[in-house]
Amino acid sequence: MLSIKNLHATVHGKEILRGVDLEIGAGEVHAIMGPNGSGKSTLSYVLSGREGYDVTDGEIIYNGKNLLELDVHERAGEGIFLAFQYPVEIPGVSSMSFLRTSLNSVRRYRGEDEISAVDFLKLVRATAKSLEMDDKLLQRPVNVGFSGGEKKRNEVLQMSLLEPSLAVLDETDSGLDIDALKAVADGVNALRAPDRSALVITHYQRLLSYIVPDFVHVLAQGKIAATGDKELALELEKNGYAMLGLEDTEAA
Amino acid sequence: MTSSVQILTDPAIAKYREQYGALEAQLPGGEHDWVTSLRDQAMSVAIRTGLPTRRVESWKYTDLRPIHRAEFSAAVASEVTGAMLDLYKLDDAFVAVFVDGSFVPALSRLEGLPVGVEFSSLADALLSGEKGLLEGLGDVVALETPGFAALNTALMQDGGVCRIADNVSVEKPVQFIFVSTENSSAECHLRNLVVTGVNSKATVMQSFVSLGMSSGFSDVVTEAVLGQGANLRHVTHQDQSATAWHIGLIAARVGRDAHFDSFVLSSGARLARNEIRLRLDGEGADCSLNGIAMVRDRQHCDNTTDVDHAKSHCHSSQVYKNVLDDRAHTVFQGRVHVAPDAQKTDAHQMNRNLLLSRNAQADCKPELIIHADDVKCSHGATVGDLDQDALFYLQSRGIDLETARNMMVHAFAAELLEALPEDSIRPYLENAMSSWLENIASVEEAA
Repeated sequence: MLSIKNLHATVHGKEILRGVDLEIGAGEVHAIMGPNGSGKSTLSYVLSGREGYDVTDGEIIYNGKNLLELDVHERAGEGIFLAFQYPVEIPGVSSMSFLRTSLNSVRRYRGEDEISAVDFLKLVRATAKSLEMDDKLLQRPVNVGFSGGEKKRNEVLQMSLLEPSLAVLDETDSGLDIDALKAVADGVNALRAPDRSALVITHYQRLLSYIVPDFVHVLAQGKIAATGDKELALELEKNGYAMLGLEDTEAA
Repeated sequence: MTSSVQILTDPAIAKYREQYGALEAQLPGGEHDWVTSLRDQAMSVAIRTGLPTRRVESWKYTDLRPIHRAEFSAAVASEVTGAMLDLYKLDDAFVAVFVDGSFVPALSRLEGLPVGVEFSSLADALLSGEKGLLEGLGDVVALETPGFAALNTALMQDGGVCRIADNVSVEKPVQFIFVSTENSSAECHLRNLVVTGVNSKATVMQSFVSLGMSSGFSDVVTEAVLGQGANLRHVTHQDQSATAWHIGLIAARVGRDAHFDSFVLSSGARLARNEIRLRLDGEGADCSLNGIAMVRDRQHCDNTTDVDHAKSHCHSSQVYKNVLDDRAHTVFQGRVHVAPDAQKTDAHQMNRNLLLSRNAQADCKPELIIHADDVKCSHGATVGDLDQDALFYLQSRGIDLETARNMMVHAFAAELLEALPEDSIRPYLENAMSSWLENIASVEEAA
C-alpha cells in the first residue's frame, strides 16, 4: 500500500530525513517511535505534502502512485489523512461548512456524488456521538475554543468522516487525559479494516496499549534504527531509547 | 495674498471655476436666490481653500492628481432598462435610481412609501425652491472640510432627499442606486440628505455600480441629521468599475440618545475614498462604523473617519477591514476627538488588514485627540497574510488551495457581515463579497 524508499528530506535546507525505508501493507498498523528531533513529525508532513518540506532523494509510492507528484489536497483525496499533533484553530470558518466542504471535496476527487445537507448532518451527528463529542462544539469555528482533548476528538471525527485508507496520527496522544486517549483510540480502532492502514507516530508507548500495532519502528537521526513488534515498544518504555544507543533529548 | 496665488496655481480649481461660471444658470434651483447664494458661497470657499494635496493631513495617503488629470464629460443620455438593474436592487425595499447622476423615476420603485416618509430627488427639490424640503441641506457638512465638500455644494446636481417624521419607523430599507452607464465618463456631483425625526428608525443604502466599464467621477456628499433617539442605519456599497473614480463623504450629526450605524463595502473604482465625519451631538449618542475594502490590481481605497465626541456619555465603535491583492493600496485613517466636557466617552477603533500579495500596501493612521479625563478610548491595527498553518490544515482535508484561500479570506471579511441584521441587505453584501472572491480564483487559473 505504502512504500517509502531511501527517503531524504530537508526542512529550511537542513536535512532531517536521511534515508527512510518503510513498507506498510494493507490493513497493517505501524508505530513509529523515536527520540525528539528524530524526524517523526517531518515524516508525517512529507507524507501529506506540506510546503517547506522538500524531498531531496528517494520515493514514496502509494497504491501504485508517485505520492510526491500530488498536491496536498490530492493526497487527501487518495486517502491519506494526517491527524495533527496541534490541530489549527481557524476563526471565522464554521466547523460544519468546513467538514462539508472537506467531505465533498474528497468525494468529488474519488468520483463520488456530493453528500446532501440532510445526510451530512445525520452523519456528523452520529459520528460525533460515537466519539462522545458534544456536537455543540461544531457550532463553533474550526477548533476555536476547543480544549486539547476536544481538538484531538475533532481530528478523529474528521478521520471517521473521510474514511482514509492511510491514517497518519502525529503524536495524537500528546496532552490527552486517559478518557480522551481511550475515546480517540476507540475511534481509530473503529476504522480498522483489511484495506485500511495506520501509521501511529508517538513518543510514548501509552497509546500503543490501546491502538495495538503490528510493527514498531524506531526512527533516529532520520533513519529507521530498529524494527520489531509491539514488544519493542514495551522494552523502550522500560529501558529508554538508550537501549538502542540513542539519546533522548527530552527530559523524562 | 497667499490665497490669490493659490487660485492661479491650482488648475483643478480653475477648471471647476470655469465650469461653474458656465453652468451656474443651468444647475437646478438657479432661479431661486437662496440656492444661488448657497452655491456662490460654496464656490468662493472652494476657490479660497483649493483642493487638498497630500500635505493636508487628512489626505496624507490619497493623491487626487490622477483625478485632476483625467478628463470627464457631461452625462450622455443612455438607454438603461429595469432588467439591467435587477441585480443591484434590494428585495423588499424602496428604490430610487440615478443614471449617470440624474434621477430616473421610471426605473425607481417608490410606490407605497409609508406615511411620514418623504422622498424627493435633490434636483426636483432645488427646482421647487421649497426650503422646507431641503431643511438641513448644508447644515451638517462644513464647507471648509478638505476635499470636495465645497465644490459639491456649488455644483450639486442630483441625489436623494429622504425625510422621516418623528416617531416613524420604516421597516423596509430605502435604497439609492447610482448607476454609471457603459463607457460613461461623466462627472457627477451627487448630494444626498437624510433627516430622521425624533425616535424614528430607518435604513438607507447607497449602491454605486457600473453597467460595464465606465471611467466617470462620482463626487458624493451625504448629509444625515439624526433627531433625538433616532436610529439610522446607513449602508454603502461601492462597486463601480475599476476605471472609475469615487470620492464619497458622509457627514452626520447624531442627536441625544440617537444611534448611527454605518457599513461600507468598497470594492470598486480605480481610486475610492469613503469618508465619514460625524458629531455625537447629544448625551448618550452612539455610533458604530464598520467597513470592508476589497481591492486588487492597482486599486486604491481610502476609508477615513472623523468622530467628534462633543457631549458626555457617547459611544463610538469602529472596525475596518481591508483585503488587498496584487498592488492594491488601502488607507484607514481614524480620527477621534473628545471634547473637554465629553466625560464617560467610550471610543474604540480597530483596523485589520489582510495582504494577499507582497506588493500590496496598507496604511493605517489612528488619531486620538482627548481633552476629557474620564474616558475609555482605544485603537489598534493588524497587518498580516493568510495563516499558512490553517491553509495547510484545510488542504490536508482534501480542499484545494483556491477554495482554502477563499474560505479564509471570506472568514476574515465575513465576521463583520455576520453582525449585520438579518434583512435583505446582508445576502446582498454576501453575494457582492463572494463575487469578488470568485475573481481571485479566476485570475489565478488564468495565470
